[in-house]
This record gives sequence, structure tokens and C-alpha cells, in this order.
Amino acid sequence: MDRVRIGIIGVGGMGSAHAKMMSEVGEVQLCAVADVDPDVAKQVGEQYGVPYFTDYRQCIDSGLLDAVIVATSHPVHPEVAEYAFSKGLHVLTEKPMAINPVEADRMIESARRAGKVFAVMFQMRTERPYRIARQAIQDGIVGELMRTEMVAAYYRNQAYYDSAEWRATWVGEGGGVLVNQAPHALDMFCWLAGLPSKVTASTRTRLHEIEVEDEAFAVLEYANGAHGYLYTTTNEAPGTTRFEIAGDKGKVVVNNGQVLIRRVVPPIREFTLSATDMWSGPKTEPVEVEVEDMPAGHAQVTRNFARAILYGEPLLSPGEEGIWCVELASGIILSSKRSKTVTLPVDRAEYDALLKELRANSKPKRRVLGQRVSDPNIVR
Amino acid sequence: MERVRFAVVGVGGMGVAHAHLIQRTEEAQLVAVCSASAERTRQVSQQLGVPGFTDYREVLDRKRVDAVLIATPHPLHAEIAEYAFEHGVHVLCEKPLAVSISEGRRMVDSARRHGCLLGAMLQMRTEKPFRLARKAVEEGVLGDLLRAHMLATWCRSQAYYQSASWRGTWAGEGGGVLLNQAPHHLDIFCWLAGLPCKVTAQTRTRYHSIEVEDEAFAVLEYPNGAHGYLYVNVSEVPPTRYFEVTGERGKVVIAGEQVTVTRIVPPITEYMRQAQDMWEVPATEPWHGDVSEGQTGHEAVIRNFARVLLGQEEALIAPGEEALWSLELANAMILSAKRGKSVHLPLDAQEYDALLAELRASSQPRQVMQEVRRTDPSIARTIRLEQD
Repeated sequence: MDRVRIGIIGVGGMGSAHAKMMSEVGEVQLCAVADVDPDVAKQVGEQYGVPYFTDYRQCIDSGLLDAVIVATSHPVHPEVAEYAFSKGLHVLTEKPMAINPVEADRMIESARRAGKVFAVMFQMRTERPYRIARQAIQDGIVGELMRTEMVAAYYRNQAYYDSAEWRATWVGEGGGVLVNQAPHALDMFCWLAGLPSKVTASTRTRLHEIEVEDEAFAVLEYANGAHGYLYTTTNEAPGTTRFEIAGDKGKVVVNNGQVLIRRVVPPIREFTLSATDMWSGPKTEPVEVEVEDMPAGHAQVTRNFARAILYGEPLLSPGEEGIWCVELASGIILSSKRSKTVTLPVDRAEYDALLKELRANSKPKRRVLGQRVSDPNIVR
Repeated sequence: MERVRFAVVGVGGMGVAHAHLIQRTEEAQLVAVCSASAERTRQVSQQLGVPGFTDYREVLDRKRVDAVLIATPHPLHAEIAEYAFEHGVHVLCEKPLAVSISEGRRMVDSARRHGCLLGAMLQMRTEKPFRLARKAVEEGVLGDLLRAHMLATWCRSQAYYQSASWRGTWAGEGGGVLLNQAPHHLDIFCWLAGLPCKVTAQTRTRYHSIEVEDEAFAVLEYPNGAHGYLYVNVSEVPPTRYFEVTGERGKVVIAGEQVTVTRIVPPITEYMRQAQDMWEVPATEPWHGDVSEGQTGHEAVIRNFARVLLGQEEALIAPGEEALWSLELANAMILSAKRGKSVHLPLDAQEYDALLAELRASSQPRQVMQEVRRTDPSIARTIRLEQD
């Protein structure tokens, strides 16, 4: 096999952008598409001259594919992925891999049983500033974790939420900003700082007419007692994307894509106890971290996925790590809805019960504009 | 009155720097210094060529001063200020205004009753980035608050806390980073975003062997429901000093010394419902306000205080009533943390007093290796007063 034969399941939104990007990746060939909407399936299939299906099972069973990209609405990811694994296909799923941790567990388990490659579309991990930040932390520059913060503020208007029936509903999405916009940031936060062990959070719906949250914030505690904070929203323009990871030996800040790394000499804890001059402080110095040049973006994640299948290249964002943002998002929702501090990993049964409750109370939308368009920023 | 006659009470640390600055201020005249330590009094009084006292009452009793600058450890501020007001002496007080909101409120009332001026040494308000940000707020650039965020970190060694028996203790300071290092930043935060109405906080002692907190954080709620977060510690380098205040009409970010103000057109809430295209976002544009170049720092606060007394300026840079904000926020955080509950503002002063009495009752004076009395050299340098 010199090219991976790929099918895309769900081509109404991001999936259509992935279809377009397939030509940029030499290691793959787009061989089929599927969408529940027959018009969309036909249109995209004809556009790229590939067979199209309205049932993902038929697409997966067609014998045309080695792997699928799953770009349906999030609650459907697990069922499609598990079906694909059961038929011996590799899976690259859009984020979030699932909205229910118990389903995410099952996906990882299915991939393992099938011995197939399982990756999640976290293209933020390909961006240079974040790769530098990650490298610095892997090099031990931060040392013992002392504090973290993440602020990820996005903007979505009401028309966005009204564009499709499934959007911003418990049934259709299983969450708001936490499961739709924030997964990249949540994944990045965990990639840099690790998963916290405790979450005390609030989710709120402040500026939009939707049933899920358009704002969430959490006070975090890590295993070593370090404090963290995260905030995310779709209420703000201009946005903010900010990560700060402070440790005993140094600090890594990525502020709107700008990365700053400083080392502390000697480490803070040591200095605090050994200093004799009351006003002295430890020295800090900037650190230059080298990472290899690499193109960034969705296409790069797809290429890496294909190369993992073809040559065993290590995955940029394997399924086992894709579960982090699911863990964090569901921990935040559980903490908020049950008004208590939640310990991670989230209790699967408890979250499942909560989600059932939220879905049972979910109401159909009053108005739907019916727009299916990929984020033009990504398409560009 | 041509020049305001000042005494400085408390010249162990910052006070001696203030004394020098008063001598450099055209509108002011240094007429006395006072310290509880006889040796320190002698030393500073000689150095500055003014009479020295060990009892502040003596300085304030004899109509020899118009104003007193209080730079003692914080728990003494209230008592000295009230004594001053009773003797018709105006007060410029170091931050924090007091240790507890009840003392702070008493000081403000007492000043009003005696027709005296009470100003606070919140010199960060004179710095350009903060003045610019404040101007944006005053001009309504932000509109309705959406979110407020503040991070401010310092690094203090254990030696810093070992330098005096009062440091880092409930009896001697009445709090940790929230009362000592953070007041300027808490003040700017409130100056820009207003006071929250609900505070859910934790205070912790993680890296120092002290009684009081070396780390504190809070989730805040503002009267309109907006969310806020603030974090301070004295265990981190390089320092982060970051403010972000977002509103439905604009956003202010202050990262270190750099301020960025953005205006959103039309306001977010309005735009939210109007937009037809699902991927459309409101337009944003930079706001370029201007503030005059002026004197900054402690010197500017002293001068402004003197000029207001002389009738040459209208308003204080940081009047006592506004200095209550940072104090109330700090108290609220400690109360919330110690009682494990959310606290509503305005703060119940009696409840806080009861807590503080408890904390003080079990407080132990710090074992001091070697008493060090020295002004923060970074401040001494900025006011060209490198000493020791």
C-alpha cells in the first residue's frame, strides 16, 4: 500500500473542507464520502468524482477504504468509529472524539482490539508556537508544576447556533462551547500541563438563546496540589487564546500564538529557602527551543495519520490522548450541573446518567436557518 | 499655607523613601519622622536633618504638622490615622489602608467627620498604562462588563519573611500576599472592572513557612452576572502581571506595561442577534486614547495630596473611600477561604473581625534571625534613593 484509501463520513460542514484538503496530502486518496443528507452526499461525491453514500455502514462496507475520517456531529462519532474498527478500518475522528467519556473509552478499546490506528483531529498540535511550548515542557524547563491557566474566548453569533437543528442542543451536540469550540484549547492545555485531578466549575448560558453553555470556567487542582484555572466562551470578540504554565524551574506562556519561555535559576523552591538577602529573587533567562520545521494544519494531521498507517510513524494526537478533553469537558459539566467538585477521571456511570437527564429535557429548536457551511477561516 | 508640613510615621521600610520624596516635593516640607525603634529614629532623623520621635502621638499632638504619611506595619494604620484626624491632621496612608474593612470604614468616616483628607499611596494609578486603561473605562469604551481577569505574581524568599517579627503573621500583618503585595493590583482591578458582588476564594500557604497566605485565587461574580477570576502569589518568577477586562463594547488588556484597548462595533449583545451569516464576527478596531505625560510613582501621589490640601488641585489620585475596594476584596477572599463559602459584598465587617480575632489569637511572632529594615531596592532605585 503506498496510499491510504480514505472515506469521509459527514461532509456537510468540516468534512467538506477535509475532502478539499485530501489533494494536498500525497499519502492519501479520497475514495468515498457519506452524508445523511442525500443532496450533500451527492454534491460532494460528484465534486470529487468518488462514490457517495447516505449510510455510513455502506460506505465502510464498500471495500473501497482503508480508513475513514469521521466528521459527523460529535454524538455520532463513537458509533461510526466503532463500526469502522469492527470492519478493520483505521479512524481519524474530528474533535471531540466523543461527548460521553464511557463512549470514548469504548472507542479506544475498539481500536486496540482491532489493532487499528486511531487519531483525533487536533491540528493545534501542529502549530509551531505550541510545538515549541510542548518541547520546552518535555525538556523539563517548567519542572514541578505550580500553576496553570487557559483562557480561550471565541465568538459565535445567534445565526451560527440557529444554522442547524443539532447545534447547541443536549441531544444534537451534548454540550456547548466545551464540546464544540474549546476541545482544541482543552487538548492543548492537557498536552502542556497534564490532566488535573479535581475540577470545580460553572457552566452558564449568558448571551445566546441555546440550551447548552456559552461560557464555562473551572478552578482546577493537579495531583501535586498545584492550582489551575480555565475559561472558555463564545461570547467574546476579539478573542483571547492564552496558556500559562508556571513551574518551579520555569514558565511557558503562549499568548495569542506568541510563545515565551523563561528558565528560573536556581529553582524557586530551592531559592526561597536558601536566599539570605531579603529582597533578592532568583534569576530568570529566556530559553530558545528548537523544533523542526513542519507545515501546520488539518492536512498535516491527516498526513501523519496516513504515515502512521503506512510506516508506523508516531501519531501527533492518538485516541488515548484525545480522551483528555472529553474528560475535562465532562468533568466541568458534571461539576456545574451537580454543584460539586469532581474528581477525574469522571465517574462514567454518573456522567452517563447526567447526560441522559439533559437529553431527556432537551427541546427542539424554535427556528432553524439551515446553513451548512464550514468555518470560512478553515476553508481559506 | 504655602507648603504642607509633613511628618512620616514609620521609617523602617518604605517610610524613609517617602521622607526623601517629601523633601524633594516643592509643595511639601518634611518636619518630623517617627519610628517605634529609637535607634532607627535617631538614624533617619540625622540623615534627613529633621526632628525624630518614637511616639506618633507626640508628633501629631502639637500642631506642628498639617499632614502625616503613615508607613508603619499595616495593623497600626487605622489607630494612627484616627488619632491624626482627631487632631486635625490630614492623612496619606500606605497601602493597604488598614487590615480589616471595619478599620478602613472607620478611617474614612473619621476623616469625613473631622473634615480631613484621607489619601492612599496607590501610586500604580499614576502609571501611564493604567491611566490609559482607566480612561477607556471612563469613556465607556468597554460597555457592560462581560469578564474580568487578573494575574499578579511576585517572588519572596523565606529570608524576606524572616527579616522582621511582624512579617507573614496574622498579628503582625493580618494577611499575606493579599494585604502586602497585591493591594496595588487589586486596586487597579477594581478601578477598571468595579467591585464584584460575590467572591469564592481559596488562600493557601504552599512555598513558605509563614502563617498567612502565599497564594490566593478567587472566582468572582459582578452585579450584572459577569464572571471574574483573580490570582496572586509570592512564589513565582518570572512575574506575570496581566489584566483583561472585556465588555460588550470593548476590551482592555494590560500585559506587563503594555496596554491594548479594542473597541467592538456594534456592541456584542446587539450584534449577536442581528448577524445573518453564521460565521460572521463583529468588527473590532483599536482605540487610541491619550493621557497627558505626568509625574508618576510615589512622588506624584505625595505631590497631588499636597496640592489638593493647598487648593491647587481638585481630586486625590486615590481617595480613602476608593482604597477600601482592594481592602474589601482582600478581606472577602480571606473570609471565603477560611469559612469555605462564597462571600457577598459589601462585606459583613463584624464577621470578618471575628475571623481576624480568631486568626490573631493563634498567631505567633516570627523567629527573626537578623532584623533587617530596608526599603525594597527596586523601589529605592526608581526613586533614586539607593541606600544601605
